Amino acid sequence: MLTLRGLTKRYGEKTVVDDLTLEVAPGKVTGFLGPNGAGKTTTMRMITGLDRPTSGTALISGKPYAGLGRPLRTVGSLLDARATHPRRTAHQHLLAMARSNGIPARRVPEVLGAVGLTDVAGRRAGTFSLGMAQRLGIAAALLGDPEVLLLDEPVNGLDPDGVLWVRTFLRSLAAEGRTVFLSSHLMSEMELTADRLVVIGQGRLLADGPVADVVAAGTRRSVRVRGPQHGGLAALADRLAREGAEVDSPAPGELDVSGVPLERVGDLAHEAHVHLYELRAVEASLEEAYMRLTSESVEYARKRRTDVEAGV
Amino acid sequence: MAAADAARRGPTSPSPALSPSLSLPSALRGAVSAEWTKLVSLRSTWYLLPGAAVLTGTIASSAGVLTHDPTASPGDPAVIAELNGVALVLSALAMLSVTGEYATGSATTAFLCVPRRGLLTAAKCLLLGAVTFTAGLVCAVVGVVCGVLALEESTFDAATVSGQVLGIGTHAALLSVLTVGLAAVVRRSAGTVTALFGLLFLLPVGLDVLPGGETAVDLLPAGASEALLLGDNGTYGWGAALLILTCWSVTFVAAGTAAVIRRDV
Repeated sequence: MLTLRGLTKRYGEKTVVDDLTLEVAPGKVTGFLGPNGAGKTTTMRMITGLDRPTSGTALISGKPYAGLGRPLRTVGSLLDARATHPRRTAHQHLLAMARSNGIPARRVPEVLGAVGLTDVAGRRAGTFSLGMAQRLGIAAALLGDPEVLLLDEPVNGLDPDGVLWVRTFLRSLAAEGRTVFLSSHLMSEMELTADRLVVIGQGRLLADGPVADVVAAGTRRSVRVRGPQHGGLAALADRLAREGAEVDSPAPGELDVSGVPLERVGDLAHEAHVHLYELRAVEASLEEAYMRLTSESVEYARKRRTDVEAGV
Repeated sequence: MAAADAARRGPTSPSPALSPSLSLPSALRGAVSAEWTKLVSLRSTWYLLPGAAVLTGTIASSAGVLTHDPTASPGDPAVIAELNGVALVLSALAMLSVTGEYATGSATTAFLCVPRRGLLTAAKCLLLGAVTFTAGLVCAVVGVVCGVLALEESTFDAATVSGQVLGIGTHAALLSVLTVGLAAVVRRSAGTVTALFGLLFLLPVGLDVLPGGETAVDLLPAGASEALLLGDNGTYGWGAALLILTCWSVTFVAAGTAAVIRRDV
C-alpha cells in the first residue's frame, strides 16, 4: 500500500508536483500516466526519499521510505536503469545492494536468473544495452522480494519479447498480492498491463480509477456512418440533429454521430432510405481519453500562466 | 537517533513481518558491508592501493639516499613519503567512494539501499577509514624497509619507528575521512581534488604572509599533519596534532553529512 498525501515539489517558482493525493492498492497493477515533464519521475523519487517533498507525505505501508529499516525488503524500485557503476559487474552491483539490506547473497543469482541475465552476470554493467540494463534494474527491484514495486518506464528499451515478459511478470506479481506502481508513456502498454490508472499532467492529478472508468470519463462514444449517397447522408445528418445528436462530417460520405444510440441511427437511416456501407460504434480508446485529459491540463496551465501575466 | 527511529516505527508499524524494523548497529553493519563490496569490486581500488605502496617506496628511497644524518630514524623517509603524496593517493580512494557514485548515477542506488543519509556517510567514513589505516600501515612498513636500505647511516629505535608507522596509518585514515566529508560537499572528483590541494598546499602558503598567519597555518590540517608525523611543528606536539586533525575530519564529515541530508540526490 502506497499513500500520497498532498505531495508537492517546487523548484523555485516552478511546481513540478502539485498537491498529489492518492492511494495505490495492493494486488493490482496501477499505471502512472502523464506526458513528459508531468512529474512522474519526481513523484517516484519523492516516494523513495531521493527528493525531499516541499510539502506533503509519501508513505509505504504507513511509513516514510527512510523509516523502513531495510527498504529493499519492502519496496523494490527501478527509477533509472543506468543507476549502476559502469565498471562494476551485474553480480557485484546486486551483491552490494543485497549486503546493504541483509539480503542473503543467494538471492543475487536467483534474480539474475529471473530476468534472464545469468550468462552476463560477470560482465560490467557499463557494457549492457539499454534492454539489459532495464532487466538488471528489474532484478535489483526484485532482490528483497518486496511487497511494493515502483517502476519508472520499465519497458523502455526492451524488445517485444522483453515487453511481453515484463507485462506478464508484473501481472503475476500483482496477482501475488503485491502493490505494483509503474509509470509509462506507452498508453497501449498501460491498457494491457494496468488495472487502475493514475493520470497526471503539470504535476496535478487528472484521473484516478479503473482503466475502463478513466477511458469512459475521458471520451465520448460515437457512431460512425459511411455511405455512397452524399445527399442522403446530409438529410440523415439533419434528421439526427433534430433528435439532438451532434453530427460531424470528417470526410465526404462519412458522418460522426454522438448523443444518439447506434440503433436509432440505423432506424433513421432505414426510414430515410439512405444506403449505408458502414454503421459502427467507435470504441473509446485510452489514447483518446489520455489526450483529452492531458490537453486540458496543458490548456489549464497555459490559461493560468496568461492570468498570472495579466496580473489576475 | 536510534530512540527517535524506534519511536517513529512504534505506533505506525502495521505488521512487523511486512515492515522489518532494524537497530542502528545492524543497519550500519549492512551499509559498511555494502561499501566494502563496492570498494573491492572496482578496478581503481586495485590501482590505487599498490600505487600508494610503490609511491612510498620510490619517495622513501630517494629521501633515504639524500639524507645524511646519523641520528635519522629508518621511518623518516616513510614519513616524508606520506606527507608528500602517499596520503593524497589514499585519500583519492576515499574521494572516489563518494564522487564515483555521483559521477555514474549509482548514488541513486546507494541512497535507495541506505536511505538514512547520515548512515551512508558514516558507513563510508568507517570503511574508508579502516581501509586507508591498514593501507597506511602497509605503506609505512614498505617505506621503513626502503629507508633502511637507502639510508647511509641511521639510528634504529623500535619505539620511534613503530610510532612513525602507526602515525602514518592514523594520518592516512584521518585525511581520508576528511576527504569523504569534503567529497560529499563538492560531489565532483575534479572539484574535490582541487579543494583538497588548496586546503593542504595553497592555503598554508597564502596564510603564511598574513600577520599572525604562522600560528593559523600550524592549526590547519597540513600543519597538524606535520606535527603528527614529525612530532612537533613548532607550535604543538603530536598529541595535540592528533586531536586537531581529528577535529578537522569531524568538521568536514559533519559538513558533508549536512550537505547530503539537505540536498536531493
